[in-house]
Amino acid sequence: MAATLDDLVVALSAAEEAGGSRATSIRLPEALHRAVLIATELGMDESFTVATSRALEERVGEFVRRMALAEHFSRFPEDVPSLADVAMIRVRGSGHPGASRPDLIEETAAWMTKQRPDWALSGAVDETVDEVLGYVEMFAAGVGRRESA
Amino acid sequence: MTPARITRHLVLDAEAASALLSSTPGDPKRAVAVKAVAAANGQRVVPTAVRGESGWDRTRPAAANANRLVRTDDVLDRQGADRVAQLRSLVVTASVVDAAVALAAERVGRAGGVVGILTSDLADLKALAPHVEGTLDVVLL
Repeated sequence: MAATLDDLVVALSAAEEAGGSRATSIRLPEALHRAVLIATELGMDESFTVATSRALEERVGEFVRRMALAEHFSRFPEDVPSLADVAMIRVRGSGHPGASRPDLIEETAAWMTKQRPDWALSGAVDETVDEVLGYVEMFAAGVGRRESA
Repeated sequence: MTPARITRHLVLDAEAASALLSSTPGDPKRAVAVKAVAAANGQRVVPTAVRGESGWDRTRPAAANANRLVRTDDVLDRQGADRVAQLRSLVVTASVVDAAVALAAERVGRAGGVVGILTSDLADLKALAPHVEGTLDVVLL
């Protein structure tokens, strides 16, 4: 039977809770292997195994998040929010310049939505919002945009 | 130059959890809850007390969508129960669930960033917020 997103969610949650280990064999590029060893020695993580596990857990977690949002928006398209709304919530209470410049977020998100109309249905929410906020930060600093007096 | 990444976490209160469990097409509260999930790029957690209150049983097939969107439970353990009791003594109108939400926000906020709390009980959570470590943003569902 084919694996599902729910199987992955259960497996990942179990991995986060249990923290047990199982020997596995993977081939890493030699330079990466050495880089992880050095980073571990410099204190990045307790061991090579922990570093590898954390990196994989983070990557699988991001994949689950992306798939979960994509599946939800595909099932309930009426729940798809505006990109501007999501970006504005992201910066609420933070020191990001967009928190006091909703006009810049609206304008940038409207442009970005035209460039990437599938930003929500593809699950690529985080990177799209990050990109909008990156432009907003730049515009708020007066870079690449003529501010009206 | 890569701009500094803003981190926003999310803690769900009981009504937000119930909204996430809804499978009714066009449920406006679910849309608000999912928007909050989409905006949170950090941790997204539901306190176990909230799960109990909202009837979120992770083993039920009906909870599958909510399980995918918010995978992490904040467990009300021994130390957590002490903190909940302390918070309730500071805000006497706060329920166990309200204090458990505040506790979860405090734990999540230790990683830095802003912790969004999505709730239908603005008054009690706003009263709890000053007693909790971290930067909280209490939002009405």
